[in-house]
Amino acid sequence: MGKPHPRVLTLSPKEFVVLELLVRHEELYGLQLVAASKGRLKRGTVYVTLGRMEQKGYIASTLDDPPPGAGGLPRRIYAPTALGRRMLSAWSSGAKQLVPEFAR
Amino acid sequence: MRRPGGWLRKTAARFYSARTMERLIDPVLADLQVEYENAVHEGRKWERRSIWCASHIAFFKVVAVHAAGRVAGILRDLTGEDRRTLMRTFGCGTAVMLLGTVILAAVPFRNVVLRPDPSSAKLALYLIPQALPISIPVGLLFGILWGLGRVTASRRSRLLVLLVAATLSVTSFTMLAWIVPAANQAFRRQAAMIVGVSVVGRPPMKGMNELTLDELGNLLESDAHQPVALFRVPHDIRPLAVNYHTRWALACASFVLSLFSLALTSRRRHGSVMLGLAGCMAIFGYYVIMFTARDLGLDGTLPAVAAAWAPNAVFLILSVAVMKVGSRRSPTLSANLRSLPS
Repeated sequence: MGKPHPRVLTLSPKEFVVLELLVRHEELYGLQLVAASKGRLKRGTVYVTLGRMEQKGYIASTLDDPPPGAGGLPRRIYAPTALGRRMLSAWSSGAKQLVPEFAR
Repeated sequence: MRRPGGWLRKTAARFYSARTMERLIDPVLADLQVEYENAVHEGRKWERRSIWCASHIAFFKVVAVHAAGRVAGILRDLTGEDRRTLMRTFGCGTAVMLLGTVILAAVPFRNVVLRPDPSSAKLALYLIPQALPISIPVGLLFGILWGLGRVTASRRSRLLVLLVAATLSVTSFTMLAWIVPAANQAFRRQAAMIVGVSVVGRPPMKGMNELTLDELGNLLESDAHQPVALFRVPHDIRPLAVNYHTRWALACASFVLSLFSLALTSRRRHGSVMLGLAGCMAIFGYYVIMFTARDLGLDGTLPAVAAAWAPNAVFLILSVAVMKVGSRRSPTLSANLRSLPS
């Protein structure tokens, strides 16, 4: 058996949008992310992306206070981690070097 | 005020792990509740409805995307043994399905075509759709018994087989609802031309099996019986009702019979003769129940829905009973689903 490959950190375009928004706003709910993305994120897929990013360690989430009354579900609030911030800055600077138009 | 999403959450909790519920399902439903409540408090009646619809669509989209991710994960994690088992299952299933399709298409073909000519090839093509909803479940049943019955198959392989069965059920439904009626009517038209009974400009009248599911549904729903082109509505609409519900039930046969054969093969390994015998008995039993219940439905002893769903109900009960008996040795389906990585 060969040695397992080291984990390669990747950032998909959707993950990039999420990180960019979270770094700008610090903390956001899933729906706020959808609204702030101006159509780049969809409410049907945003939580799948957020779940994947949490597994990768780019973002962390906490539960908000549950709403008053029975049966109400607390909302989940998302924030970038240190790794997520480093990833975003590395990805942005890499993109600026490769594609000059990106820097404008 | 009753919060929306409670039923969806309860249903999802049966199938998903606590982590998936926490990270994927609950956030979607929490959004639905917050948005919905805000709209109710502010008296935005129409927005409330659109939020309800958009959130439900989002929920099912999340479920679909998650399921696709899981299937990709299962496919990625398949071992060499899993691949061999699945190849055997689907290979045998496809062979039986093709054989069944040929037999089921050949019988009516031989009744109509006395001398093969170029136009009769078209006829044979029209007969394939009506054979598939029967040959698919038969093929799946024998494929699973042959592929999984002689080895100790992994949970991944079993789940993948069940997913394929569900997909084939949806395919069968599409066939039964729209493709089979269109193909049947095309067959009638072509056959009338071949045997020379066609009157120019007048296509042959439709029978029940030539009506689409929508047309059947419309006939059953309205008391006035909206006219359907080329179809004379009978006085007794009971056969129409039985036909309508049988199409839904037959579409589910692939899934139900797969579940039954998975239950049979979940406990221990069997010999080839035993498996062949079990398969033949299951198919024979299913069709005996189907035709007996249909007759009882046609003469009014049973309601049309009960008559149509009787074979599926019997085989579902049998599957659960077989699983219960073997539950000490093998975990339940929901436990299998939970045990898979998210």
